[in-house]
Amino acid sequence: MIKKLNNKGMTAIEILITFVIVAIIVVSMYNGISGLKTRETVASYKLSLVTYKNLLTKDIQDDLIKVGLTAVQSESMVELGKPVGYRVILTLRDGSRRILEVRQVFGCSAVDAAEVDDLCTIRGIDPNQSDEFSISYGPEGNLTEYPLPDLGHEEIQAYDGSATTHTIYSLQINEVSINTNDNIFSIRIVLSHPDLASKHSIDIVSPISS
Amino acid sequence: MKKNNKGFVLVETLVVTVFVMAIFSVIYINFYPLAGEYERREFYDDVDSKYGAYWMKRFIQGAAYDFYRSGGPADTISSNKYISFKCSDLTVATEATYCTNLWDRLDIKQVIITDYDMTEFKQKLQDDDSLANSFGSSFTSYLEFLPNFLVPSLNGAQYRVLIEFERNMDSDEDSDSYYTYANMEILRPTSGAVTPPVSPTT
Repeated sequence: MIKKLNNKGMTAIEILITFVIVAIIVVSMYNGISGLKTRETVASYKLSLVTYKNLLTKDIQDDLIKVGLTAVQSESMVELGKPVGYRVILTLRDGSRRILEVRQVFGCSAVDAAEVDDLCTIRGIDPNQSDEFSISYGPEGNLTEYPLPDLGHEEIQAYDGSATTHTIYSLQINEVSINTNDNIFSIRIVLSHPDLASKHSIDIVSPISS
Repeated sequence: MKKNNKGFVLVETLVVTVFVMAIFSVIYINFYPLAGEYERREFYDDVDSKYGAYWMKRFIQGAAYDFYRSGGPADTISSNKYISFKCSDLTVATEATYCTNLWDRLDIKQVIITDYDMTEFKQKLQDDDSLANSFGSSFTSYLEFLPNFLVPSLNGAQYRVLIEFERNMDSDEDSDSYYTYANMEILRPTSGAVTPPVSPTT
């Protein structure tokens, strides 16, 4: 007995519809997965930033709360005639001093020679200047550096044809504001990152007790 | 015996596809808000809010806040399940002024004090819609998120302070604010030591 084979296939229209459906599913999944990937990256940036902020805030607040703050003095840090950040001298109740240094040097972020004038020269930034952002804290003469987490950076080639490069970081110290009015010390160090808007800052607020 | 060689027709395939997509949609709709909920919790008990709450706790635990006077905070919490704290409630003028200044610098929006065990307060919050409206939906979400704290405090705390902070990162006042929250336990023994004053001039 000859077994009859199933010779029925799919029609061209059925195959076409199937391909269209599969294509729609793949495209929608691709968009979804790529969105999730972006969210995962942003979440990992946030985690690094919050961990950094928590560590630094705890070290400073431990001194201010456990020992007590009696005086604050702040000054600009200047190197080669250029401002490079802020130094805050905190005098504690036991007479010891803690130093908080915020280094904020913006590098030249111009991506080609045409932008150098607008973005760097007019603002007094050397075309080969790298970003330098860091925070240091500790007893006088024994500061601990708290380098900002590297949440992405770009190496920019020198415009003079040499092989040197300079680095521009995605995470920057955007703004530093220090206030000692009404016997209350507050410092806000705003950190900005293109993927995180600017809702991240290190905020220290403490009464100044005499 | 003749085998069944009929496959699925296109309509059947489409029906199944639509059915499966509907199931996935339902799952997505139900699980997506959980991601938002998780993101919102990054504003709960963050490090800045905790340290801010610490300084308000110091005022509340201080002698300038007359906690056990007749009809005072302790009585109000006992009857009303909570009390709103304001710096003007402090009886020492220098502490009140200093508290107001610190309140502004810490970006505090509202402070409430409840019993350490929040069961009765949360029940009241659930029963009384007007209470949730007065606190605002965001603060209410935080209050609902907190546990009841049924296990007594290891430090012997009797009360709890809950604080809402209104932060604005940009100097531009028109930019959007965002809110953070923190809670801390409060020690107010009926007799004995209270926390020293916070202001430098008292």
